[in-house]
Amino acid sequence: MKDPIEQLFANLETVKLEPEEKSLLRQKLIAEIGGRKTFAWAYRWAAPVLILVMAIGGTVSLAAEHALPGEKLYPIKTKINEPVARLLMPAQKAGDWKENLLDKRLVEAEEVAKQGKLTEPLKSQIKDNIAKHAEEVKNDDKEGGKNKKEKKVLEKHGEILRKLNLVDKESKDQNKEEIERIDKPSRHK
Amino acid sequence: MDHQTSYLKAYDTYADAIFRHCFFKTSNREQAKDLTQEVFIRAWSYVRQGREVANWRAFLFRLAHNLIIDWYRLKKSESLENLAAKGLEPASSLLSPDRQAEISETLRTLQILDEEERSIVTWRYLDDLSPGEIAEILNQSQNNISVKLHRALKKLRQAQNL
Repeated sequence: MKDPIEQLFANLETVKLEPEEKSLLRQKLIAEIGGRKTFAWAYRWAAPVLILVMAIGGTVSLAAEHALPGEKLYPIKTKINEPVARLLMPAQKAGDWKENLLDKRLVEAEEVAKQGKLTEPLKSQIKDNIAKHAEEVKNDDKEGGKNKKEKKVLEKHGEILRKLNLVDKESKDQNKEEIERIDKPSRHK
Repeated sequence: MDHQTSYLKAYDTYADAIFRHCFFKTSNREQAKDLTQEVFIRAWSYVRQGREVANWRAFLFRLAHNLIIDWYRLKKSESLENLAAKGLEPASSLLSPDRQAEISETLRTLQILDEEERSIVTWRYLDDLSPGEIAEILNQSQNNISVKLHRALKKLRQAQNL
């Protein structure tokens, strides 16, 4: 014979979710699982992925700092590292920084020449880069010291071209003329 | 078996028992459904962190028990104690009036027990949980649960002349 206490509880077993309710709730939970699963995945991997990207990015960026024209990492140096550095720099230091960049281009060009890697396309690329930087320094300069700085830049520009034997007769003369033009007004003062 | 499969299997196996437990505690069918859903959402939050559930039944009842405590605190709604006089909301539209009446009668009988005793007896005799599992749910010693169970059964037998 069944325990009377068990009998007492037997009819309570009939209280349950109706089949439709149970099925609907199951569907809701599956939807919930899907949503949270995606979020959980993103949450779990976001930080490690970010750290990995930053580590790889940082390493590449650091390695690119020593890259020379013609090397694979050189565009990262000139197109990412330097513009980012420029953005983070106070406005008043930008002029000096641009001048230093011109020096940097000179050192790079010398190094490439020393290594005997100066091909014709590379010569042309270096020449363009230097001309671009020289132009930036001239345009960026404050009114007061403009002539002085412009002359310095042109001299530096000419020096680079000479060292690399990149200069042709026409641009050599043009450079010389510009320096003379700058010198003239200052002698009249 | 992966987490999702074991979770859904636990739902298929224990959803009715959890719903029933919530229904007896809240005396409100819709509320019991909401609580059941919340129990399983919390269960998923637990397992998705990679944690293992050794005993799904005890684990789900424990979640339900904690949620019901929170619900009592928040809603201060009627508990089973107040139902004796008013009667219970129909447990299911699928049950016959006679069956509904039997259910109400049983619940009325259980009113001689206090809330905790009623939970312990229901878990033991309706949901077939062992004293060890009940101890786990209520965070008490197994010995303590056995004593309380014995005392509750004695009360019920005296009341029913069983």
